[in-house]
Amino acid sequence: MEISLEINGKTARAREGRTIMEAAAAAGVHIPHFCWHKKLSIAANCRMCLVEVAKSPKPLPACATPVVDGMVVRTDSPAAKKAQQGVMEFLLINHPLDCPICDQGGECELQDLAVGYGISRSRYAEEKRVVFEKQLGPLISTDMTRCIHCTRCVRFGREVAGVMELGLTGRGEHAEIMPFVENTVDSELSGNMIDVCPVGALTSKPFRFSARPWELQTKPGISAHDSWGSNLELHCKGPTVMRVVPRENEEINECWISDRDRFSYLALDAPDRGKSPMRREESSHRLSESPWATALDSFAETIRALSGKYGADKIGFLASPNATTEELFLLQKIARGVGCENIDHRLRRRDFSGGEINGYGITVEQMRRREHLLLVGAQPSAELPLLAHLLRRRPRRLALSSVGAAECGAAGNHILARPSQWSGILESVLRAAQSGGGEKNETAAAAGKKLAGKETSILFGGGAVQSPHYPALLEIARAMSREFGATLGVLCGGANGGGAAKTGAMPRAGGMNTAEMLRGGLRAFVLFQCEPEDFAERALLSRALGEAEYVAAIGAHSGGLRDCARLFLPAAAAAETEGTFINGEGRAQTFAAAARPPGLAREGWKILRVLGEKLGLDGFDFSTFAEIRPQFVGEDFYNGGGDGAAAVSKKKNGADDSGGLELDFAPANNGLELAFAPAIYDADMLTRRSPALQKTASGKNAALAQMHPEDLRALGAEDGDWIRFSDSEGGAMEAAAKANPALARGVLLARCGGLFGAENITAEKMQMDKAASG
Amino acid sequence: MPETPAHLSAESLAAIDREIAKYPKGKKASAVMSALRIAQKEKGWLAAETIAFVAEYLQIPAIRAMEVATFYNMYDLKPVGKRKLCLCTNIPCALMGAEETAAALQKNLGIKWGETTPDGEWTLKEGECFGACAGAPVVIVNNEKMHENITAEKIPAFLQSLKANNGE
Repeated sequence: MEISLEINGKTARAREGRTIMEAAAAAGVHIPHFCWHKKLSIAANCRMCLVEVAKSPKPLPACATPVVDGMVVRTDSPAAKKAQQGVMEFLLINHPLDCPICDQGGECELQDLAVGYGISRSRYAEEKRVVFEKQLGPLISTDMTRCIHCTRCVRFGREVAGVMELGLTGRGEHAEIMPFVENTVDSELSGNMIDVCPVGALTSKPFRFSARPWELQTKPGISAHDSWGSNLELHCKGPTVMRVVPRENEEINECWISDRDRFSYLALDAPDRGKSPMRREESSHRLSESPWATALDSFAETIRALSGKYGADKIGFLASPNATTEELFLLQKIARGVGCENIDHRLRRRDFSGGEINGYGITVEQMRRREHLLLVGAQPSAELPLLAHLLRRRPRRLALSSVGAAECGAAGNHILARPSQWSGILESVLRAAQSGGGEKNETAAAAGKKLAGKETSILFGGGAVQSPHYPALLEIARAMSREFGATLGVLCGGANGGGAAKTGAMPRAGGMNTAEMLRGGLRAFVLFQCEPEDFAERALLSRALGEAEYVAAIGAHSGGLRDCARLFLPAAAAAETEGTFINGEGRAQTFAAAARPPGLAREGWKILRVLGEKLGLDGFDFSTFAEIRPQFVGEDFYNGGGDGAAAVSKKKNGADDSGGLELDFAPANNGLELAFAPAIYDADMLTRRSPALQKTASGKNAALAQMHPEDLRALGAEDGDWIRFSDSEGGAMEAAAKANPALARGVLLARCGGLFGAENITAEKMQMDKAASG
Repeated sequence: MPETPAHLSAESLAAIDREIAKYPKGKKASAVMSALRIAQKEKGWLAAETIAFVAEYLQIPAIRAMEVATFYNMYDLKPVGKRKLCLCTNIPCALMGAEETAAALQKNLGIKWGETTPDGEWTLKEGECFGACAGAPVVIVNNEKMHENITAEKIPAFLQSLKANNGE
């Protein structure tokens, strides 16, 4: 119900239950505040928003006072001003006057409000208190003396990040914001605490002391790490990105971004950043710098020569799903121009039978309202940190995965199992939905009953898509789609998750997909913005690259390919090029370059344009970015939704052998299975090279082989012991072990460096002397 | 939960369970103050590990329990002596001579606020209003037994009686 009230003499209308703060904001009246934040719960502890309300003997906090019909509010009366000045004087009693050396200076809410609402001097002449700094990890710096105890960071942790890592200990004069004992802040959204802190108590550690806000130019950008499409603001000093903060977009990322989006810019000047084209002569063992002209010519010549010698079908083109739509379009145009159908961007996949799904199939907004979400093989906090945030607010979901019980949902909504068991469980859910129960697994049966007749979306995570059982899972999901109209989607598509497939960067009839290329004995590879770590089958790729005659890499960083590439062309990273990402919902977001690529590096589309021209192909004689767009097929290219259920092709696969349903949750007898959960900071070339992200707890864990504590105990091993893993196909790797109780029994979560197979992996504890040298 | 030195006895856990039962299902966190009190009674004081244990038992973040333990005066975050005297120094007690009482306590025990005697017998703490201003100045012994009208001249006899009655 709408009520009417008076704010500063003007009549305003507001819905009942709204606070004075909200009503005033809607009426265009700004009320100063610190602890109030539109996305957090109300604390009313800073008292900065005190206003005068008629008939109230004392000033009232606007953030916590609901409006009442006929209320008369004054935010600028002498009484209100006196209250604000008094509060400001109190807040400044213990706040140091160190604005000139404070990183927040110039963008500090306390500074602004002190100027706007304070008085110019303080009556406080006694000593100020000093609070020691807290070590919160590699991302957040603290100057706790500056803290005004608004508790926004505490509430952010509890309410948004989903884990309470900071608290307000002590009381009154002794109150301090701190973690428990000496814990660090490890949530994947932790960087947002820097933004919500209204003073300089929590600041960005990597950005510290490197620039002043008034020196920075703000440029819009789009996240290049996942298919959510978070909107960013890149703060640049000259040609350099100095930091990244969220750009508000209520429909996508609200006002948050993941730490990955915030701190990956540090990789833009990684040691192996390509600043000049490099070539390796036949006789030489190392890459050496080369002029652009020579490098480009040599590419065209070699590709022509190799396709003449072996045929164009002996070349493979592999591109990152984080490449822009324009880049992928031009790359496939080159591939097809030279007569090659071997092109793919689906690098993290093993089994390509069973058809394709692209995008979420629904929008983020629909995801928020959907009656049920069924997540299969997803690890939201690592794959899509903002999806994890969305899930924390909506309890109606069922998750099936091998990793991360706690984050996927409360007990009863989550089934933890090995990937090979998933299709059986999913079938059980389906049957329960059809028949209304009677299934052995109670959770599955309950889930099936819940899903029946509901508006459900099935979303596959990286764990499912990378698994050899993906075709079987797809089959059942399609049956669910037929049965109760569930939509289908994948979460793990990369920054261009909704667009990569549409650009044509996928093999058509007669072409090889990623898995086939890795096994197809190809003579040449062209890799665009990717390296072996980006592939599900890393070991196979490394072998294929080693056996190939020619490897050309176009990318921002040379590191992962330094040993095998014959040609390296330095390209711009996401923040340095214009382009378009189409996110998982099918939303196209075009962005401009925020920074200049370093040295001689050039935008990917420019490099591809010249390569096309050098190869003598049609359609490469344009000169501006804007000219690429009209070349795309179809009018609605940029506006189409995710493919969803409708566009799923119906190829039959033979992998489904889950006839008899036996759900045992005991460890597998036939060795370990890979969990395929992509480590959050091992997602792409940029996150892998961001020093701050690698120093976080999640970054460090990525190098470890994680197993269920019981499985580890069965090997006679404990945390830190080195384990040797081998598979039946001759692959092997060694890694230090870490027990992770959030894993299913019988799975191995690791960078699968040297392993070829995904199942039947045997593990053996290594002897101590070997461990010492390793 | 694994057996660690912070693990509480079966009796303490049963007592905590009784407290949890007083609140609606799924609201275990509400029992945090009682649980900390019970843990402190068993361990003598609240080490960080004890707080973490209690938090895990109640399924709340450790820092959440730490907030509570640091907020209230009656939780001891450092080891205390056999008898912990907590003297109120708020206005009514101060008007009735709490400052003199404080001086007398400190002189007789030879320790300052927040300190423990070397023999581990006595700890002296400054308290906030106990809600018994009619009997000011007020001293609470070991968080449980309240003594009223403790003026400075009564201190030697007061300490003697506490020693004789083992804190009662």
